[in-house]
Amino acid sequence: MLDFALYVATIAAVYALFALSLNLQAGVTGLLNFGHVAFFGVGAYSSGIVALHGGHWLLGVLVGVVVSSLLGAVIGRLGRTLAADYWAIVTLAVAECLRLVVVNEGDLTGGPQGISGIAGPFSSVSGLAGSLSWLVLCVVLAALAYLVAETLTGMQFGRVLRLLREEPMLAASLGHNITAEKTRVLAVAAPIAAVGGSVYTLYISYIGPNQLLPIETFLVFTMLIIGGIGNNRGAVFGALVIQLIYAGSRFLKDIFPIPDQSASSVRLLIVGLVLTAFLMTRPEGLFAEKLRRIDVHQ
Amino acid sequence: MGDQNPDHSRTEAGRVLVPILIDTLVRTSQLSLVAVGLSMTWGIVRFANVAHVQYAPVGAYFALVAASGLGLGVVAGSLVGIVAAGVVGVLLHLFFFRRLSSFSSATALIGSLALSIVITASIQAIAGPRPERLPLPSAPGIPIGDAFVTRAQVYVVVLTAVIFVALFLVLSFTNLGRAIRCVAANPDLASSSGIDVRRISTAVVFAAAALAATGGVFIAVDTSMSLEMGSTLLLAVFAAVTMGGIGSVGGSLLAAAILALAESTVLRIDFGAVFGSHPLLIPISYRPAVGFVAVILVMLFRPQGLFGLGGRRA
Repeated sequence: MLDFALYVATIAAVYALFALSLNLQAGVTGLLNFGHVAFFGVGAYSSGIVALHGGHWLLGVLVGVVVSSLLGAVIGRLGRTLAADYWAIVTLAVAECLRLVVVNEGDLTGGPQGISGIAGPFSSVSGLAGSLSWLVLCVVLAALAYLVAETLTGMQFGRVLRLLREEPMLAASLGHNITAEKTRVLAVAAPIAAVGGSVYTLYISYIGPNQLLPIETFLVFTMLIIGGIGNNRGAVFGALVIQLIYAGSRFLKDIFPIPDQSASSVRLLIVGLVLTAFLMTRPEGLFAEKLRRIDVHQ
Repeated sequence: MGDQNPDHSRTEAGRVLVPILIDTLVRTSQLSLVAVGLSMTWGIVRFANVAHVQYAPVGAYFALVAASGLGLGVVAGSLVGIVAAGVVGVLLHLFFFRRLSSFSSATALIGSLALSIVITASIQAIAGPRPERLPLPSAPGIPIGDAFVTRAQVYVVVLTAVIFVALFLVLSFTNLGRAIRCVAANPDLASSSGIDVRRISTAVVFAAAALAATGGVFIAVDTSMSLEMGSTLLLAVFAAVTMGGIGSVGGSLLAAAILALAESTVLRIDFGAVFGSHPLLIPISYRPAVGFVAVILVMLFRPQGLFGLGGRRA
């Protein structure tokens, strides 16, 4: 039971990294990245592939950070001419292309079976000490990401991003280069998710293409909406809530007679309905983003 | 290769071309039916409704229930399934999307993502994860040259042609059709000219969902229905809609045909021969990549549509 609680907490901390990364894009800047899972995938597979070739785990994390940042910058550049919903579809297509390549290039990625037996930093530490080390590492990383996100949104850069979201025309007319700002925020946000992907892969020592399905992006969006989109605290809180729902639904089948094969769909259904309910009744989330209001009609 | 006689090479070409043609026609029918509805509603609801493709599995599974569960047979069952999916589409429009759109189009976009997941998860929970087939009697294929075409495929292509002709006639020559085009082009102007925009929108949403469901039933008739039906259609359908120009019925049909042709030929082209090296065929498992790449390219370079029809801010 303790092991399970530690596992839930560790994964929640990893999810917080994804949520903070997506919040910088979708929440602060208003860029609906439907292919967010691609950044997770780059981090995860960088770690997996480096481990497959006997490299140090730290190298895998670094490769993931660099590659995801580049990918983020490229996807951000695509926002040059695209309306918001077009961009969302394009990001989804990019992520799906990545998944297709991962499935098909078996020599590099292990194909549909994925890569298993990946050695992480605490592989030699067993039992409770190992689980605790992982938890501490992930919580520290999540806290760091939170600090980075808070700093970014608090400074001038963050103000420009919010202006971009609310009044893109005004931002452009004030001389802000919209494409450059979008590229920058994606290049910064992507590595946060990639580190999450790397740590996740090292933690469970496995990565497969089924972890790159669009559903994962949807989960992170749910976290943001529940917590309050645009608010870093909300992102972390949402990650925790979703992880608790996921963990809690494991016990659901002890209470209700749900056949094993539909357990995963019931879990998704619950998450989907929670998200739908929030969108219908409280789209600003539990911790609504506080925008400074300036009265122009004095 | 110089000793091949012309007659032999003609049958050789026929051996490749006929399956490509059949493949393309069937795929065009399925894609265009789903795409045309999205194209028609996008102008009215003003956000990218990701959940639109989910009406295909919804229609197919309703048809399955009506055909086998209620014992209506495939034809009547399919009609019931298609109408039921249309009703679901209208209900979602009235009670879900209209509310979300009133907050912001971003909320509606995320909402449509949520809805797709809910629909997929519901189908999986009720029908199970395995693909299902409509209770069709097995019929022998009709030989064309060396290739075979099934009776179902012939029906699919012919019925799609009939549907598109009917759609074209309604949109061009009836008052309802004119009203629909007015609302799609400029809802405010339509409203001030005395058109009941709400009623027309509802009618379009019903038709769009029903057409997508028809596409889903046609896929189920041709092969089988599965949970992933909607998500595998998603990007190809969005590619077809943008390529054809949002709001353009003919454009979606043409774009669907181009995509279908690309899907069935790209994988059969020996790129090694083109570059004069070893045989280099793209593996069949990359087939979905055609839609993925097409959607990226079209949205980047021709967001107003290939033919300059319809159009939207870039």
